[in-house]
Amino acid sequence: MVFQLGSALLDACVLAVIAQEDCYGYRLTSKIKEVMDISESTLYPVLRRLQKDGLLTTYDKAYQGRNRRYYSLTEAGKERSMAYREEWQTFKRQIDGIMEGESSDDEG
Amino acid sequence: MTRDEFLRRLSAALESLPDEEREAALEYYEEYFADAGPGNEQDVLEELGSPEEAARQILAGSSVRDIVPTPPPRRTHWWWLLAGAIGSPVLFPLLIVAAVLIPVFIVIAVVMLFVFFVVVFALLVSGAVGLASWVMTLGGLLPGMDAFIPDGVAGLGMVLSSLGLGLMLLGPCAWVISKGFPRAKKRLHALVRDLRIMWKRRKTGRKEK
Repeated sequence: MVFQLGSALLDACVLAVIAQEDCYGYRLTSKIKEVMDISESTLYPVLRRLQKDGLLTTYDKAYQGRNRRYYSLTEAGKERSMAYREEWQTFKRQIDGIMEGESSDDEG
Repeated sequence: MTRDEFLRRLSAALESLPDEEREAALEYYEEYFADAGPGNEQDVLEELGSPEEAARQILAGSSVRDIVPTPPPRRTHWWWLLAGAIGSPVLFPLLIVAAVLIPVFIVIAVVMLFVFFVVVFALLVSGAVGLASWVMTLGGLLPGMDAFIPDGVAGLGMVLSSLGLGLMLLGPCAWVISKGFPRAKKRLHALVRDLRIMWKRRKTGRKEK
């Protein structure tokens, strides 16, 4: 991808993916990697941080005789995810405006 | 580099973290390898890059203020030394014996199963062929064939019992193929995993010195 992405956008994407359905590490990484060029070792610290901030919670599920740790959103996580989405919509509109050359509309 | 080496180096690089934190990180990567599938181990390793870099990111992400005021408890340290000293002369030979005996048992079991299959197959074939030839000649009982009646009847009996035994054992054969093999595979898998975990515990235990 040409554009650099900050950690806020990565957080937003992680929360958005988990908002759709509870997810385990490998699957989450695969999904994020579809849209972002991240290294596979990037995600664990992010998950850990979001968990510490109380946005994510985990639960374990047995799968083929081993453990799988699923991540799901807490109430705070859902709120944050919604806020990110709104923020993203605004940001996207502004960028679209500049890219498509309609920026003067908002400023009047 | 192998999966185990990656995990070992990661564990070493995360030494400054509290045990619980480090364990969580290791579990995450173990699970990651498992979900990627054993065939993709090399790909995953390539993607992950160096364990030290992964550790650096984890350390950077785990906000230092959480960790610095509460240094990890280090009281396990002498205990592991003791456990290692006591455990190793006993545990290690035991592990070696198990490492030798388990494959031997598995091979023996497989060979026995194979023999069983062959026997069942042989019973069925000889029974069928025998019966067919007996029917064709009627056991030499046709008039003018110089028949000795008890021989002919005994022949029929042998042929039928061989066929019957074969058919009876077909059931267990089918069971072994449909249920026994997957079950054995599962067991073997679990055994390998347990041994691996034991081995890892031992290693991390040793490293703790």
